[in-house]
Amino acid sequence: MKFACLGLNHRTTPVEVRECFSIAKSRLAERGAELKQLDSIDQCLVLSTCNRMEIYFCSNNLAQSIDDIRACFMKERQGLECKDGYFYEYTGMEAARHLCRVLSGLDSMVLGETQIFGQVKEAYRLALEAGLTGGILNKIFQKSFSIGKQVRRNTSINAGATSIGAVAVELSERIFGDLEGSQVLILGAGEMSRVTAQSLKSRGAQSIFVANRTHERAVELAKSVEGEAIRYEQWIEYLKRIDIVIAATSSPHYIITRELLEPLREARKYRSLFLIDISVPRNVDPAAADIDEVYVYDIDTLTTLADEARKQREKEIAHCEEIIDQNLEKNFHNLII
Amino acid sequence: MNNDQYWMLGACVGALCISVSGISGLIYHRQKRLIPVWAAMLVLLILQTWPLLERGNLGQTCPIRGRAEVLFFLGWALNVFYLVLGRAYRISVIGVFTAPAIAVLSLLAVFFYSPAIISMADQHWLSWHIGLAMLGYGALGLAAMAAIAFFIQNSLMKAKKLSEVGRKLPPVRTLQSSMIRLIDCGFLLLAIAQLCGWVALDDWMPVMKGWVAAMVTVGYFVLILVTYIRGLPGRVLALWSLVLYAVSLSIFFFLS
Repeated sequence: MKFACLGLNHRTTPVEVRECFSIAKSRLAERGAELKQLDSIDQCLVLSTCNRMEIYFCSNNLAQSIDDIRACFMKERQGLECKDGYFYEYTGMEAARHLCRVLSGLDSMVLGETQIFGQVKEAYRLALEAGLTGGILNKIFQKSFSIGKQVRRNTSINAGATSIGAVAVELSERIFGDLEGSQVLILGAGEMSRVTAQSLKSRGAQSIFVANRTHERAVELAKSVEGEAIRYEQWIEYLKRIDIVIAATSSPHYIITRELLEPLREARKYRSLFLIDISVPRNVDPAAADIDEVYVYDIDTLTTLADEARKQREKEIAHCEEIIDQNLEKNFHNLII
Repeated sequence: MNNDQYWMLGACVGALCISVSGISGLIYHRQKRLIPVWAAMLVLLILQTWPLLERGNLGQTCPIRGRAEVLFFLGWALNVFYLVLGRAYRISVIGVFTAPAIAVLSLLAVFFYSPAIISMADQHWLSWHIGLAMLGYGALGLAAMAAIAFFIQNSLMKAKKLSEVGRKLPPVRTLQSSMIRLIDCGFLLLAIAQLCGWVALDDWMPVMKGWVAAMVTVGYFVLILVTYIRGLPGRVLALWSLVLYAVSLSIFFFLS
């Protein structure tokens, strides 16, 4: 029995083609069952995320299986032009290596991201419950999960935040700890504000206030982040209760200055205040950071921190590959021919 | 060296090992520690408790009379508060600061060691005074450790560095709230200890150390009052936590 993987991902396929092959989580088992009905397939598992769609399967005739799977998928997408390079195939030990790399986050668009591990686990659970897997596939996946965990535990592949939103969240947590109950004020209703606010919300920030010169845009953004729109003229009053401010207006001069914050310190009881300035030109006067309990991070600093984290993760790739190599031979030699 | 001294030295060495391991774990990533810091501190507590128990049994009294005993007891109290409240306040990682402090106290105890055991069997108020004061200083010592951690975390954040150390240290707000709670607890114990001490005095002219201790207690009281009524920036709170604790340690120079 041979093990293989056939799939496409963000590296090999543009999004407009990838989305045609995307399978909803609720249909993964159904799709897997359809593939298992093919004579050449003995065991299979379907994985579909926003950046990849992969079929892991066991078969006694790999070449036939691959052709059958391709034909099955293309039959439903008649008008689609599918270039040769879109699909990749891995067989035997290389398929196992690919699976381990995927689980370790080495094949992800954001290197080291952790979401993929849960997505593969979920796909495996669905396939297992639907009776699509068998002894070999079960062992391969279980050993791969163990290797993936080992890679993440023993390296810094998922350390640090690699996007501005994630950096903002990490910094907020370094200041406030648990963000539950934290109050966020967004000044300016741009896309970057929205992304940053959503990142904070996903980690528990509950009260989000949005202020924008055009009130309708504030209402729109507030709705998208389940927050509350406030009048732009009133935002200064909110500073007494706010923990985090995301400043992203198109103002050509500073709107938050040290002189503005000093009188508010006692009213705030000297609580920590985090100012995230993602505007250009800057909205927050750097002198505000001279206040003891105020932390100011501008777009350049956030970008630099994200870049540093990315570079740090890239340095870990070789170590991750080493761990995978060491474990492949040890764990898969008897399983995979 | 006496048996007790060996145990005290053992505690010192143990604390040093935890310090080295903890600090390197803080700075570098990679392997998970074999033993978490708090578990190592628990083992250290056993090393600290044994000589105190021995001396207590020999003298049929709480072993907090001589300078060495007091210093060692102080280290013990620091560890007890770390173990009891460290995890509850989510500041377990400041064990890496607590362990060096315990190492220093244990080493000083070895240095000032005296085999004589002074009984306080008839001096109940004095026993309460010293025991509660030690526990109070344990809590205040842990607050000082939290203050050190706060200074490090705060300066990393101000310098805009997302280092491995900063990731592992507790958040700024957690350290601030822990400092306040520990100071509250320490002050309460210290205040009761002060009262017991004044009652225990035969002479109504208190000794110098009594005045220093009273000054420290008042200092902590003012710190608490200002924090709750007006509020204090974290850096100022941390600074005063350290200053008052350093002043309180000077009391032990008045001991024989």
